[in-house]
Amino acid sequence: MQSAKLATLGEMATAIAHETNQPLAVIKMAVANARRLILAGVVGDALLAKLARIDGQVDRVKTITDQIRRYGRPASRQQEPFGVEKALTLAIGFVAEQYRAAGIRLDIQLDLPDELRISGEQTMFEQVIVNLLINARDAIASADGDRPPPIVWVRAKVESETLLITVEDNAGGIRPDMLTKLFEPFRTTKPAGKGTGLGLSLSRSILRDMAGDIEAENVALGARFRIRLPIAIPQELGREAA
Amino acid sequence: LTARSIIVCDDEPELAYELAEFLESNGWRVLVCASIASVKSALIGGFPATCLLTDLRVSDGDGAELLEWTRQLPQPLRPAITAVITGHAADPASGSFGADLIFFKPVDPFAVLSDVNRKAAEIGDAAAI
Repeated sequence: MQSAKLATLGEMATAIAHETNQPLAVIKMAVANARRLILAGVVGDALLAKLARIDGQVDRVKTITDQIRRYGRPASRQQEPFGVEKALTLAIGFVAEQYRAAGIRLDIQLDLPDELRISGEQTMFEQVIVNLLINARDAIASADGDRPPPIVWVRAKVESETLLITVEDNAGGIRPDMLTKLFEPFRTTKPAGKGTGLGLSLSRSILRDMAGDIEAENVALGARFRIRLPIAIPQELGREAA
Repeated sequence: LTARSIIVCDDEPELAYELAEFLESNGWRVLVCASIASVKSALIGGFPATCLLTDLRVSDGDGAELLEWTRQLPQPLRPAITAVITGHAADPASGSFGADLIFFKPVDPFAVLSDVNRKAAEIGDAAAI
């Protein structure tokens, strides 16, 4: 699993440099303008606006570094079996109120055996699901033109001893040129400042740590994300019971 | 006296406007464009750009392709100076884009000012002071 992270290390380093250089560039120029204002004796609101802008850009860098820290977590630290249905329910519950407020219907169908378990870190898995649901919500919010009533489908089932989870929206789909780059770090379809572009990359990293994977495709009305994960083998369940 | 004019093309509004403010305070007339399309519209519309400074990755296209497009413009509409500003560590040297200047974020705005002033003086831009 670590090799998957290493494979993207160069890509990550380049992308991190790019994304942190953006706010640093704003800071550099805002400082130059602030210095000019001070030398010209202009203080007050104009100078405060510059400081606020610099402060905002520092927060922007912090958002990026906070997410990057998650990449440094040891992959096997908390690889333990956990119940899939409970984790999915918790993740969905986290965004349910946001969906209600946005008028988006959540259509959930979990066809899972009782006590079905997968191995990994539950909170990280929940983060993957929350991230997909938030992305779907944002896609619906930014969809152009007359759209059908917004709806997001969450499906989970076992297929050939593999857990299959899909999250699908009806927001019109992903730009074809973005579809192949979607899981690269700092690739985002969201407006500047809205997303870090790390969510899907991090999600893929988390799922690969769990020996699974994620893929995206466009379907009739929108985008569909498909997660595949191995179910916990009996030995792991036995070890937990012991 | 006629001020030199520059188009700053970057879809990071805070960056574009800070740079614009800095250049304006140093005698440049600045047009900020958040998209490739708006740069093309301005140039075709006759905005007299001494310099076009563009990011490489803009929301609606590629800055390098924009520079290539400007080279096809008839002389009166073509910016005399082209420059790239990029935050991407892996971007190759400016020669790859045919740009006169390249700046790497976080660039010192004084360096931008100095280089575009020098370049404008070198080419003897008719619109220069």
